[in-house]
Amino acid sequence: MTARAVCAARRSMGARWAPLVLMVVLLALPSAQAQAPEPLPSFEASGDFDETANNLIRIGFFTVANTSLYEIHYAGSNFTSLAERDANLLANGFAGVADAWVRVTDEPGVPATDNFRAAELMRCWWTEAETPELDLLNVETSSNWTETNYTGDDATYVFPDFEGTPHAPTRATAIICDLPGVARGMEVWFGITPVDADGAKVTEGLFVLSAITLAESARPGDIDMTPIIGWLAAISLSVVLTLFILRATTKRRGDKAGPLMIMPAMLMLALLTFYPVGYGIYISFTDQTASNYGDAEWVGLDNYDALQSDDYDYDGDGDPGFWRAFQFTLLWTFGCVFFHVVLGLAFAMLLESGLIGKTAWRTVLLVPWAVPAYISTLMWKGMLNQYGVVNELLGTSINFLGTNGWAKTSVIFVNIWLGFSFMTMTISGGLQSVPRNIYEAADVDGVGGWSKFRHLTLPMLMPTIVPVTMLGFIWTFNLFAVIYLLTGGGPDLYYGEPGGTDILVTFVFDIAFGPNGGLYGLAAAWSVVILVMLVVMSSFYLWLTKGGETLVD
Amino acid sequence: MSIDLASRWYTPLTLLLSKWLLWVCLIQAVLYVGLHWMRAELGEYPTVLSMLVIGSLLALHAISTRPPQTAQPQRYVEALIGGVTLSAGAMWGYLAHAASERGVLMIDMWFLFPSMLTGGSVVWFTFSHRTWFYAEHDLERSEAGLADVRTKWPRWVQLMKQVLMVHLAAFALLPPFWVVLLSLSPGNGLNFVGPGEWSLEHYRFHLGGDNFFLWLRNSILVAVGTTLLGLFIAFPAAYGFSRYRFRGRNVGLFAFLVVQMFPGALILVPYFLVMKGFGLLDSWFGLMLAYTVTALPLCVWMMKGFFDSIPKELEEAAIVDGCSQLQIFTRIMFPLSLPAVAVTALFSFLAAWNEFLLALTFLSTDSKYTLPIGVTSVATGQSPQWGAFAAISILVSIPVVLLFIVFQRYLVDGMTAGSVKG
Repeated sequence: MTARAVCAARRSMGARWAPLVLMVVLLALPSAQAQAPEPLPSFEASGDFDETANNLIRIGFFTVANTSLYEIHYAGSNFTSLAERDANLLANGFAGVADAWVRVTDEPGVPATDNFRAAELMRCWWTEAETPELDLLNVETSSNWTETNYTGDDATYVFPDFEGTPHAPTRATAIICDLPGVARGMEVWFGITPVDADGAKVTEGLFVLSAITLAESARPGDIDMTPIIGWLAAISLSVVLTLFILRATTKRRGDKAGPLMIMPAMLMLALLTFYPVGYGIYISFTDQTASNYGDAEWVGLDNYDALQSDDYDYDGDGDPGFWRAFQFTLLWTFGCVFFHVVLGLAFAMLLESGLIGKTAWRTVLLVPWAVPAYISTLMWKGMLNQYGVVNELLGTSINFLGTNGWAKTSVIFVNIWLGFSFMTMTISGGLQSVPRNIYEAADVDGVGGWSKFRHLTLPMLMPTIVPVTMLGFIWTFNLFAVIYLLTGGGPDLYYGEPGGTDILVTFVFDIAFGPNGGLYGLAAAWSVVILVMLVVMSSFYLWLTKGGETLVD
Repeated sequence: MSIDLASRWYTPLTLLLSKWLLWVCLIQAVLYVGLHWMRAELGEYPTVLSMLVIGSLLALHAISTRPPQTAQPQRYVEALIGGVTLSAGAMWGYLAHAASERGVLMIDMWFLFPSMLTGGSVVWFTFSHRTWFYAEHDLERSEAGLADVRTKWPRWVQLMKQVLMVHLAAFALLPPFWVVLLSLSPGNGLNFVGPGEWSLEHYRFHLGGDNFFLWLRNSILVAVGTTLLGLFIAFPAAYGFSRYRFRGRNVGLFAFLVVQMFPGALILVPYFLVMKGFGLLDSWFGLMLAYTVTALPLCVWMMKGFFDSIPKELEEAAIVDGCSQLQIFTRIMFPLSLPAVAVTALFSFLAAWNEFLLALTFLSTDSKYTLPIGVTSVATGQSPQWGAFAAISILVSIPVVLLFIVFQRYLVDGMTAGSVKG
């Protein structure tokens, strides 16, 4: 399979979470609505089974004349009006209360270029057949149906507008669309309101369909292992193994006992670390994707070529994005680690300089490290919102996470907040082990403050700073959650190219599990490249700290 | 005439203090320029900002920390002008803000108030130390002043440190503070309300609902399972590495060291496929295995380090007394190494408790979600529920933060021994 074929496979997959499997069943329930004197007779829906799609529900409906916009409201509980739906929200959990729109227009929209990925848009098909059938199962291949075009590079004239709302022409007689944001295994209700050009409802009332997503029943292949049993089995197995080894080692203490004792740990390491790494290197040479699992072919170096090939230059700017992501990875890593170390050093010296209430302050500074990283990241996501507290405090109105430069600054800033605390704790621990008397001697000799720092403190701290800096470097290089949760790699996401804040690991995740994902072979090739970079850095680290020799005594 | 050492070194406490405050004002002025650039509306602020910068620069230049040995009236005047400019600039800025649409924000006060005070103080201090600028030193006064500096200066330094720490604490605590406020505010938006309107609806929502307890149970199952499994495997391994010399020992230790440095993000794809092959995707057991093998190197290294510090003679004596290997473990090594085992357990537990990426990749059924994925699902997606997210964050964070505070020393040491977070 060539790189171009890989690319084609990638485009063809509308999977939000490719590896997951979801069955969507729509039950037509034209339930009578209070404010609907004349329910649209044409509402209809049928079942859909889509192996690659997840978190999606596919619905279809016939169009109503004089409509310029269909408002689709959905929620996890039944509702007869929008107010009722919103009121039910708290009582029914995070049932994915959401709205979607389909615009009806004959004017071409703005091509999708900015701030969203094609696959994150709602997919939408329309037909102009006189007696349309809502063939939800085969709509993707049916010749009667036209998909609303998101790419802007071929003949169909219907583009999504800048909000990502799909368009359908006025001559469409029926519309089918995939609605995202539905939790798995959950019942969903819909209401569709046709709205005319003046914003008035074409027909009164909401038309509620009922739909059920059945996730678990559509999950073939996975072994249904009751977790508790697995849990107990693992523990009892390791107890038995430990006892067995201990018994065995009692008899032949000395020569064979050591290897026997480390055997379980080494086995586990081999099976769950070295084997996956080797397997990863192997699949990086195959065309493994989500859809041909277990049936991959050897493609040699195609995946490595593809990293820089024009096939991945989706936005046609002559840059497929590898180097862009790589550059930001370096900026991100060096920027974060630099500020971590500088701030950590400064704050640690402040803490250890005879500060009154040191223990209390130390505890306060511990908080950013102690709060789970995913929670702090989400906190910052809320605070950095355009209408969030940061803008309120500063008196600004900046879209921190939505404009390229600010998003880059923001992710680095947030990670500095997340990491400075650990660095402060570590360095202040190192400072405590610096003997006080050398400073007394320096004072007697009249050494100035800067010289004391430069020639006494810093050299004494080096054994602490060098290892944590290098470890911090490796962690930051691989830090996934912060960028994933703050910006998702955006802004400026365009199809499968890395966005403004994508670093290598977040982009690998996107290739493998993201909206356009499922390209395991390509993702593995990226991982191998990153692995090589890290091996180089780690060897440098080991060489620098002489860790290889001193740690293994 | 004797050499007047005191006069040669004497700088009044207030002038030393002014110097520090002026530096602070200068830094603030530069930051303030940045803030106005972010606000993208300048108006009359270029004048205000340059007054702040020029004022503090002038005064800084005028006040040296070494006493003048000749009369320097020009510096005296410069300091006065600098102080007046700084203060006037700050006041002008305040008035301009008050007249503007936005009004005076807290952050504007934070920027302007110190400059106002400092400018005024510099004028006052300069005025009251005219003789110092004119080098009319008086031995007695100088000696008294030096003594004053000596006793009072450290206190001022301490005060400045405390002020700095207050700012640092604000920086560290602002997000948690915001989340606490948000969790007490009704509604699921990003706005919070004052204490009068606080409600516990979000807490009630989680504690009265199912999701929170479901995710909590899942997390506890996975984290406790990881900890136990990890200890059972790591304990004998660490003992083996510590007590025996055999071929391949160094290679084994080195393997554990190297593995520790490759975080999960790298082997994610093959991991996923291998787990899929084993049929362990979307199961707690698969997650547990993955977490155990991630935490294993650290556990082995930490316990090995501790075992190395337990004298071998204890075991030799036990062997002479006829102990079996099992008895050595249960009666000697385990009780002796209990602190190390506890810390190691805490490590595996926290690592599993906070892990995000593998759980995100492996789990697809929401009834199996662990807390990180559950909490994230509340705050992301089509309609983030910020209020509910804030409440569940508080519920999840408090026990973890307490654990960190209690065990901070061990955690710092352990973290440097290897990688857990990330």
